[in-house]
Amino acid sequence: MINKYKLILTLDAMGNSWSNRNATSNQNVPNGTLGPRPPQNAAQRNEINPRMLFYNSEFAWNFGENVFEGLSPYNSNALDIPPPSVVHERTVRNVVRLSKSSLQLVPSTLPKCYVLQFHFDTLVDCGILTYFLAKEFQDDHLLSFSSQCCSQPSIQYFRAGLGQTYRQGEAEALNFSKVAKESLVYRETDEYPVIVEIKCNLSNTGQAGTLGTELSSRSENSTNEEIEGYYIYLSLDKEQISSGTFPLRVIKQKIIVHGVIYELEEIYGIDSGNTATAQGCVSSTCYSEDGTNCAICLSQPRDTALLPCRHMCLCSECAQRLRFQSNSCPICRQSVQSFLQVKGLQSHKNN
Amino acid sequence: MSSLSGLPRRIIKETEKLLQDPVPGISAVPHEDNARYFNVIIQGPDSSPYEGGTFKLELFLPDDYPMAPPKVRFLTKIFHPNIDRLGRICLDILKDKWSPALQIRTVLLSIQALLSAPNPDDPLNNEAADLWKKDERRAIETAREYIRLYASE
Ligand SMILES: [Zn+2]
Ligand SMILES: [Zn+2]
Repeated sequence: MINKYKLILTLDAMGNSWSNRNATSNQNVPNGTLGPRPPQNAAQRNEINPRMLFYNSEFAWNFGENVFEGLSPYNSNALDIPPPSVVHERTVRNVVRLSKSSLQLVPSTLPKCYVLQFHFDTLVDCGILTYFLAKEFQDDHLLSFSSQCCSQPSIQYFRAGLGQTYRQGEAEALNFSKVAKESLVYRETDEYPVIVEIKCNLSNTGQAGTLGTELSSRSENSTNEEIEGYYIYLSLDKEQISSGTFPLRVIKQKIIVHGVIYELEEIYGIDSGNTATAQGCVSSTCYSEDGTNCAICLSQPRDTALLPCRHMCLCSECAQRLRFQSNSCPICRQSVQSFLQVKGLQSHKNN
Repeated sequence: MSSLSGLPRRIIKETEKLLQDPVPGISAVPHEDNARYFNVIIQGPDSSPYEGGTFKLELFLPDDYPMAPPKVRFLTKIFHPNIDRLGRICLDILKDKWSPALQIRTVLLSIQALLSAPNPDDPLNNEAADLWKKDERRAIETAREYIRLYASE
């Protein structure tokens, strides 16, 4: 299975310092000499689940298996602090993968009405729901959504399998003569145009039956933590409104693991192939010149991402050197808080 | 090229690329005895005050390159607000804005761009900068005069 889809989980422990850093570091960033910076949205960072303040680690996930290891953050102001050792962090097994480019609103059977449709792979049985124009509510262990315009959606169940298609039920179609298309463009408020909820842990939802037994027997053998819920927040692009097609863009993603809610962040530059960019997974614009090699030695494959800017631009050897000699990202010059080494990238590329 | 042994792969790669795929208007050739020392020639960019000039520079890669920036200096005399009498260049990426993701190639391109766009507001050569602000036409004439005297082949 080709692995094009890798993500970091950013944890809340860093939330406050990140937004502070963003405020100061923006002034130091030159105008584009080194390529674009990944979008930083301090406002979004701030709405972080306080439960996660207990975690001070990064970890990442990867479809089908786990390969990530985090380095503990270091204090760049204290020069005499010894370099951080490699700390093995928790790993999470991602079990559902959406094809980002397939996310779109398609015409339903009724005139002027549209339903959500996308393609996905899943390694476990799962249930999918779609909310339009919904607000999010965070409980201790739960995310719930309430829609301003539509009634509670019904869940569709899917068996584990690759290459599947979700198509929202006709009864839930959004009527564009009643709801303005413009309202499906995200406005940085607490109302999200479209939210997809994927329940991956059906044994806990009372929907056990045969689906549940299969899942729980698998979980016992697994040392990995599997995600319980996967949430994708979507928006229409303003430019697309006048056109007849309605592809959707991912605004944010969250997952729940062991009752803890995490927001997912993408790593930039993991795969400079065009496929990945088309899928909206990574931005490869900074890296075109030297392919997938480290920006410093130009010879080793890159396997280390910098946080918080999330540029995956170094090999682990050069990352070690960078820790001692500089504290800014070679791509965007944002100061580096920690390093995230991603193991097993090469083996995937060769597959 | 025995001098290549012990040289970081990065420098070898950059050198190979510079020789195989040179930047238009720029040549950079490593010195026979020292692969970290480059003889550089930059042609004055078209429709700039330096059009028609051929400028020699020296570029040296210090031991801690690419963590530290290369050292670059004009050897040819030039009348430019951001280049002083000793040929030193006022360019942020050669100082605090250096990043190890930049390369010899990007540095030379930036210098070429500096010839196209002199910036008298961030002067290193005050005489040139003052004249540029007071009387740009005379400043450009002076730059051309320098080319006739020092930078013609
Ligand atoms: Zn490297
Ligand atoms: Zn960066």
